[in-house]
Amino acid sequence: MSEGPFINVAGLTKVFKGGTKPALDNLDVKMERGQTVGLVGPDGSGKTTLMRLLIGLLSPDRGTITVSGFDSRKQAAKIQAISGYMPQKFGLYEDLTVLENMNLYADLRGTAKSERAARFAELLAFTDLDRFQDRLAGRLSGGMKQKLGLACVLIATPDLLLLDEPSVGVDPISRRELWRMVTQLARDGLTVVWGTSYLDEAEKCSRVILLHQGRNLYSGPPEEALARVKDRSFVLRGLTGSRRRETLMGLLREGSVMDGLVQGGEIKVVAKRGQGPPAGLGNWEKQKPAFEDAFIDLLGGPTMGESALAKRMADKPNDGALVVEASGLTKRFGDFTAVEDNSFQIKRGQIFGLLGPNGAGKSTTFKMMCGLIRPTSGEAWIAGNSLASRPTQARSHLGYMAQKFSLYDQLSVEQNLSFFAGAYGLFGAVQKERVDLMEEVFDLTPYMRSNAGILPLGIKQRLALACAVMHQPDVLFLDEPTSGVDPLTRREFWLHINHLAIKGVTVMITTHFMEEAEYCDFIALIFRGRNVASGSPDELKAMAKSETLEDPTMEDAFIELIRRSDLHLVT
Amino acid sequence: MRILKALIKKEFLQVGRDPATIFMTLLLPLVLMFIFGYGVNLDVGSFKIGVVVEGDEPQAVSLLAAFRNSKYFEVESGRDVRQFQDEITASRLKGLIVVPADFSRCLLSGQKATILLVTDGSDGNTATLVRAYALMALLNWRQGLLAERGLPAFQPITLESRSWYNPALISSHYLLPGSISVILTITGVILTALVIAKEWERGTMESLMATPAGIYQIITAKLFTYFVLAIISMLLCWAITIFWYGVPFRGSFPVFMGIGSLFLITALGQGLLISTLTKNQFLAAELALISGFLPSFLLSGVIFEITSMPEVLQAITRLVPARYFVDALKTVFLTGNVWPIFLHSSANLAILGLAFFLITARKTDKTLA
Repeated sequence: MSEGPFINVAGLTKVFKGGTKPALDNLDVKMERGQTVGLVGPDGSGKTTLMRLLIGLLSPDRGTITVSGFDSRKQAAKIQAISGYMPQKFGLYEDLTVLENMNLYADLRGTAKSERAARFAELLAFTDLDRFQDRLAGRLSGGMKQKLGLACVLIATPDLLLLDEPSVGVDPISRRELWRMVTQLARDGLTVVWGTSYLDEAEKCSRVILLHQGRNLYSGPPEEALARVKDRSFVLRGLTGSRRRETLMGLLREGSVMDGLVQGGEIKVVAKRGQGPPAGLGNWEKQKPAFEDAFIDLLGGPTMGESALAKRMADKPNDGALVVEASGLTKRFGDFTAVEDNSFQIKRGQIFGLLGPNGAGKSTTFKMMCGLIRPTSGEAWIAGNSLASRPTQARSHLGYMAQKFSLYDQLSVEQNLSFFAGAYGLFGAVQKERVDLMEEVFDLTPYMRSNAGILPLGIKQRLALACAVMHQPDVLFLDEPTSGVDPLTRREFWLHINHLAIKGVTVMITTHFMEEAEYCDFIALIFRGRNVASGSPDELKAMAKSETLEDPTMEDAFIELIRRSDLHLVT
Repeated sequence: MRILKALIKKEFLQVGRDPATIFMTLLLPLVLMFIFGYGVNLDVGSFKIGVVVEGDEPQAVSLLAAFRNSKYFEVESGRDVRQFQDEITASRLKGLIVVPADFSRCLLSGQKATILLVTDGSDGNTATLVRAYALMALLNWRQGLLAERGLPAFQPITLESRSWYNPALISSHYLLPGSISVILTITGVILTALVIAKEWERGTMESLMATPAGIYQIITAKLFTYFVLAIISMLLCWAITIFWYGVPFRGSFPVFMGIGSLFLITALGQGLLISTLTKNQFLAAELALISGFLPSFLLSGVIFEITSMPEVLQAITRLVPARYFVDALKTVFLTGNVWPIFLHSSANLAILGLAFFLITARKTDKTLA
């Protein structure tokens, strides 16, 4: 075949109409045949744009791309003929069956009818979709759709496989299975480009391309990136309850610490270059660094040591009172039970996490707790007010940040803040004071006059959090607040959340990131509407422990506990 | 060709699965034909009016009888205006005629006799008709009165009127052919705009474009499928119009099919343009409704006569493909083959269609951006 790298991207720049910054900025990337390349970066970093450029669906403004010697501008059809591309939404026809979808792609790729039987049988076995051949694609679960999408792009045995965020919206179990399939394909010589915003997936790739704001922050094997933070990652074990948070917040103010986070009963810090573990406190053990540590190091580390928000907020009384209570919450939609008999209690100043695969009933539980939907049976209380009988009082203690950005795109940041202040009953001088406060603590000054719709994702999320906390609620409900944002913004969020919890604000949160679950004091694992396991992160990990799984991570625990509940081992 | 075949097969599979598409192409025409055939009726029937006769002299009574005998009126009579007040307000009566107490006296004494006619000005059309019919009944009655007295009756000039092509002036005869253009706009513009926007929205367009299938093949397959569906709708409408409603068909069938196909291609072009510009189902539906369906209804001459519109609106109707199709449809059903009209319609449809496709081609990159 051709000389040089399988994929060669040189000086690539792409600017979209109306965009101020280039989506991709002077990018140089090389990929070799048979590599599994992780294309990693937060939302909006340019991953999808790069994939579309690679497959010739977009053409570059400057620079060149060659794939297997073909130029993407002039020979896009040739690149497309040897490639399989699975876009974010899988590209399936929901009103066609599994087999009809596969036949369509086989027809388009010109796979001969005689070869089809064998190839289909192979792919259906590989994706474990054999039993579902005649099911409409729209009736498949998220994980199964993803596998079918993969089967469709594999029909013509491509040389290059481009997967755009195949793991978004898919639970860890399906993620793991997909990863297993891709590893197998790579062994057979396929080049795989795997786009993801999950940094832990990067570690498993043979090569990583780290994109940040359209620029190539790093490209090379993941080990090399990890070497940057080698011997700089330490853990301190045996901390409990809110002490972990207070200790961490203290550590983050120290000069020698670049980054730190809570991991169940442990605190992890990443020391600045050339620094050892923080002095005192106890016995710091060295830990294998994570790819995220490397990313944060590459970005220069978090910029804030303290949450200006928490500093300016009044303390809530530290009385250990039950602030949030749910008793036997059940919600049925027709004969489908979305949530069944869910009960929990959250004390003041605790962080409570709802974890579970997509469609498990997390958001439904959330909406019942906010009084947005009425439970079929059961009751919930916020600060002693029943959501059924005193909904207005209950909600006045509540700040809610919805999963999707739910502010007004056409209003400016300032107008959004004033509107929400008004909605919480803050007017006149108080309103002005609070809006000013939010502007200051969330660093929104440069954006006050811009419309919310055009802000970068991280700023939007900041604004959403500002709108949820400006009335200084006792309880904060956060529905996947950090999904899709870059690690620095996530650090910033957790800094606020931790500080708020120290101040006595009670937090209920859902998240897809397993490492974020570690921050919680208490986790309820929801699966198929039922609460299948609950406890502190360490308790959950202990529950999942077995002979084959000696030191489970949070993700291991998640997968194991759900698997057991599926087998009815957990009652 | 292989690719096109695969894509068309997929389209038909999808159509077969989607009850909404079947409803819009097969059932909706039936429903609309029913509405146009029975519901929208511009024929003039009889009006309910009230006649108040305040005196009971023979002249007043015979005038009342004259109104009763008119085939255009259903008369309720009374002695006092007040008893009809509510019914006029509620529009149950379309008019009120008051024959005052001194009517007979004035008439006999040679003074000027006056009767009062009240109509509902908020429904101008009806008011005008009621006035005309009332006047007619009054004149007839006066003729009779003069003859009775042996006075030389004034012989009015009679106007013999004849309506060509629709002698009985049955409104469904011109409404139904015109409505075919409204129905085809639904399949051609709205459905097409929706299904193509759906491919963009679901991300399937992106997937297909990454295979050897190009965007032109994807669109050709779509247009072909919906063209076939729309032709089926058109034949269905044609059959219902002729065989169920008994509307005459005086032109030639090939001409009907030819101009119909041309209109469809134009409509598909419009639908395609809308979906290309929006790539979003909701926006596409709104735009298709505003730029396709409503003009085909209001600005095409199906219901409202174009020549009686203000000039600005008349100018706008030149951009509405349905207008040219309606012209051709009325001609081919009611008049027969009038080539100048057909050529004028076809030429305009072709120009508009070409414009839609050219703009679409300019707006469609072969790539995604």
